Amino acid sequence: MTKRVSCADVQAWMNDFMDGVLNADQAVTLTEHLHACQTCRREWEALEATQNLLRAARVPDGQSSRVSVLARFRQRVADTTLERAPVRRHSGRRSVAAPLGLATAAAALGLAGLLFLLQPALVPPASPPTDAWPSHGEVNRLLTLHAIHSADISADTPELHRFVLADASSSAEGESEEGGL
Amino acid sequence: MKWTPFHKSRTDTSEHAWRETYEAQIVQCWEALWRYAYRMTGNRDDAEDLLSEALVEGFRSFSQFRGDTRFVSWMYRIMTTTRIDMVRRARRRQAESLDAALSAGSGEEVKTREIADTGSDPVALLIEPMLSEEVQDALNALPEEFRAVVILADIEQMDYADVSRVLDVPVGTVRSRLHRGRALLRRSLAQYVER
Ligand SMILES: [Zn+2]
Repeated sequence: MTKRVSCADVQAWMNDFMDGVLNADQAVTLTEHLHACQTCRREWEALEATQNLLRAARVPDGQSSRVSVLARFRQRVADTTLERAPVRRHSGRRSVAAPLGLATAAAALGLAGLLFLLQPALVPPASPPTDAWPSHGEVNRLLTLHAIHSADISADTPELHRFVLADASSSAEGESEEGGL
Repeated sequence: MKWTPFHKSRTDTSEHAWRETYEAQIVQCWEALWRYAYRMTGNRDDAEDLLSEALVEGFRSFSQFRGDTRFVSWMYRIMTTTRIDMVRRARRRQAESLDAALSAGSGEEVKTREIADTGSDPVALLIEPMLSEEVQDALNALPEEFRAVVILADIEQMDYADVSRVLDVPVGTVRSRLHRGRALLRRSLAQYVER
């Protein structure tokens, strides 16, 4: 027999039922009530129909916008980089940066080795060195590439993934700070 | 201080590699980003504006992306905050030039509408161009925060926890916004969903 429940209760449960987070007891009460009460059944059907309309609605093709959006993005990046680019350092000041560079170079080499071991096929070819020491950017680029590539393997080896990431980034930061002092 | 691509001195090669990597990620999830942008804004021009702005914002903090969420979810979040900022800025401008707007009439309403891409589904070809427009109008009528939740939960079908992470609001807030958003949509689409 149908449990005593108010229409207001049933309607308050409908969203949770729709999302599959209403407990089984209440779900059964709701279903039974829907059989017995036309008002609530209509309300439920309207909610379902709204959901279906939302999911069926299409958006215009976005591929044609891709090129122009990326072009605008590149322009903005180029403008900002030009605006903010600091004056190039004199070579004489290299000595200040050298210990830092040495540390980050070591970190980068270590990380590159890890990358190579983990996913040899995905390691991009190293660009020819333009400077004696790899820049922060270079180290960060490796870190990001590593993060992106290991996203693919994380499902299989989440512990390894997390360990490698944490290890690589903490050692890079740690050494940078030491080098800076 | 966190490192960001824009603010520190780096070689051109490195800057290029960063941008290339970032763009590759963007291109991979372009369709999802586009759908979200279009549904948040309701027309192509504003969707492109939103994406251009959000792409720049995303690139600024790309070095902080650790891969602990999917890249596309990370971008949804940036697009949502960017959109809310853009709307606030636009409202401020609107308020500042209220006199001008009043004398010029409502130009805001006249946005180019496009026929939605209905693919090759014959039923969709018959009924959807009209209905997609009605649905988009109903979505446009929702407050931004509600719209974001409805799009992510009901259209992209993410669960509460994922939406909560993307929008950085508690799960309870996601749930209540979703329920209220659905109720508003159900009412504005009443003539199509009531028998
Ligand atoms: Zn009832």
